[in-house]
Amino acid sequence: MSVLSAIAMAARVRGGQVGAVQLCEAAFARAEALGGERSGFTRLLRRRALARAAAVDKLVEAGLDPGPLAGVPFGVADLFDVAGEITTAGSRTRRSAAFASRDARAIALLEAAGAVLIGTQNMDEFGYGFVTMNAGYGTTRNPHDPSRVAGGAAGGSAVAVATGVVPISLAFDTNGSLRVPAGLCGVIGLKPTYGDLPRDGMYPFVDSLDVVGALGRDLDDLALVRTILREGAPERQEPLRGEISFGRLMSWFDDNIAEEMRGPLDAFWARLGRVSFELPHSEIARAAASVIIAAEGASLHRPALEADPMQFEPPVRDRLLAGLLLPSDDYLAAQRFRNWIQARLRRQFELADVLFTPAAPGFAPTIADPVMTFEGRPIPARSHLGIYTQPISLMGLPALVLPLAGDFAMPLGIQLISAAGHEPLLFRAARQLIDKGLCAVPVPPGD
Amino acid sequence: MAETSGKAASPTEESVRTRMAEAGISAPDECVPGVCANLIVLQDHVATLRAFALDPRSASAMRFEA
Repeated sequence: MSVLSAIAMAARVRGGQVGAVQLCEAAFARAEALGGERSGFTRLLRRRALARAAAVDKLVEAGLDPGPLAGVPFGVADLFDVAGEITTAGSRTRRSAAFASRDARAIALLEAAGAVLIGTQNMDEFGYGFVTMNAGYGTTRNPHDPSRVAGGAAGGSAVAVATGVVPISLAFDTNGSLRVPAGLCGVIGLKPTYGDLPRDGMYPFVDSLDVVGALGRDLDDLALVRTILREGAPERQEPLRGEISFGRLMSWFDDNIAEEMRGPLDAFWARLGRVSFELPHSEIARAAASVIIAAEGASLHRPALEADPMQFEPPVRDRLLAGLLLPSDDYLAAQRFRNWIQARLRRQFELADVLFTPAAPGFAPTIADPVMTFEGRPIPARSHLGIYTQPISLMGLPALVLPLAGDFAMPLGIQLISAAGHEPLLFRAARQLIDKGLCAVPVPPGD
Repeated sequence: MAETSGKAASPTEESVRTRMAEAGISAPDECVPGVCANLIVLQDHVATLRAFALDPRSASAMRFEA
């Protein structure tokens, strides 16, 4: 498994110590050796990638700088447009869709910085699920235990970085889509402030919640990806200096925590001073997010549902059809609540700079029986693993998921949250936690 | 003025069939139990939302930003 960060890879390519083509071939070999279920990839774009990598090598040979991600292989969740390919969004309903005419903006920006797209990655159908168990494109397995789910919806993107096929993946987050798999697979996930990164060429799911994000094993890699994707836009907020104050969110975010998460979370909290806060109305925020997703997702897919509902996977089809029956008043009430709580939430960050919660309730559920415990009852993980990420999505806040350091049977992720536009603070907080030894990216067994 | 409780009746498979037909959705009968189960979950979320009496004039429902 390659343990080099993207930044280190690029430095070697720029220094002529390794070729971009060589890195690309190594990524393909690793992905092929693992196979689709374990690499996270659904398509490998060999011809395109090798041509691009050769161009990077030629720039280096000519003494030119291909960019800060020179020759770095990366993958994308299969809802980013790739020129000449069908954007499946994880759905068989799109198998005959038109080829994308151009790359998604986020892909173009990473490649302009020297990176090389090597393939597309698995996801739940249309992003509507937390397990990456896809009837059309297969189940993506957790690299720390292949009998367990990777989490979702962007599970393939998390697995691809956890297994070292690529150091970075571009993904998306609607309601926890990249944060849940980051937590369950033991990688770092960036969910930016709503509207911070360009969505052009990303197949939509829920327009009022969707964001482009990224997954990686190295914090600095993700900070660099964010900088590249922002195209030099000024930060929305003045950087906060001085000591960072942390606070643990309780109530909704403390209920339903699995036994294996409880002890490590308490220990992490103790090291940060045991400060806790309530985030009032989180349960309502989760409910509002669910209503918004159901209504917008259903409306988006109504033509396909009318044409042939049986083309959809049954769990997704039934959720979308139910969404079509929601009264518009309930959708508007949910959106109204979203704006109301966003305004009130700003005050919360006067008390603590960074809030934290678990990324998911506990270890990844098994593929054979993908359930979790909620209010003492077993419920489907597919629709509920994001109980701690959903309210944060509704509020539009940025979050970074980091793996807790420790010798656990499976990865356990922590979700750091800041005020909108304060991603630099989140990165500084995450660096502090890594340097203190509280968070670390685990290596999957066998690697 | 009509009195309302804000609490909706729980969906049944029969009511789901009717509502889908009214919405112009033609789906095979095998979809109905799954749609009904999901609608019950959504209705729980709606009940949570409705129980919080937010004045409709207190916030916009049409502004998407963070």
